[in-house]
Amino acid sequence: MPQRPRDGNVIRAAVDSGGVTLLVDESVYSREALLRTCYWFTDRCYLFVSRASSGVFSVRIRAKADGKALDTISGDFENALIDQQGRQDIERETARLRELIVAKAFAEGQDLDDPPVGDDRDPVEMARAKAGRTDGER
Amino acid sequence: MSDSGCERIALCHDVYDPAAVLVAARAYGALLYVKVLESSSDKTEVAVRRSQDGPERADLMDEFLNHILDLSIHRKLGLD
Repeated sequence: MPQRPRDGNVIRAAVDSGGVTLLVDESVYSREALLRTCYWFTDRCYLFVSRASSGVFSVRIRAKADGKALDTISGDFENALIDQQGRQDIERETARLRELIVAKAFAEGQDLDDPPVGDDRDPVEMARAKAGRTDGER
Repeated sequence: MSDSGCERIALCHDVYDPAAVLVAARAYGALLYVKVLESSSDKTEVAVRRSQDGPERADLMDEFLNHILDLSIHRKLGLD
């Protein structure tokens, strides 16, 4: 019976006959990150994903006959899961910045009816320009 | 797996798309007998049995499950 991963032990691997079972805590790794990781790995190993309990996915990994060793594949899978979750976190955190960059690009081409929200000028450059003016006035 | 060589597999809809199960069952029709035993809002349960001699049994079943997973992820994440 799979157990829920403990705090600080997000993925616990159990090895049984020919396969490794990883428990993935959904509070740490999103379902989308898990699915994208699985998608990367279906050509390298056999995967079966189920619900171990509420908020925990169980991923059973079996090596293909002509593939890498099971230990290597499961390690790669765990790393890929971290990588995929990191990508999602960064994408979410930088979404606003990307919107501003796109808005600015279109605004420069005068393709937008409304001006982009916020001030896209470099605050450091503005401070320098202001300081330069002040120095020049002295 | 039972003595008759028939395996019951529960596929949770969080991961597996019910339509993908049917598409994969059709694709493997020449190699596997697939019967949908039960389908609820959260899971589909199927019985799978090998229909003829072919690749090693465990691999065939695993190939089938991988195919369902691939199709499901395509549908759920809109990768098409």
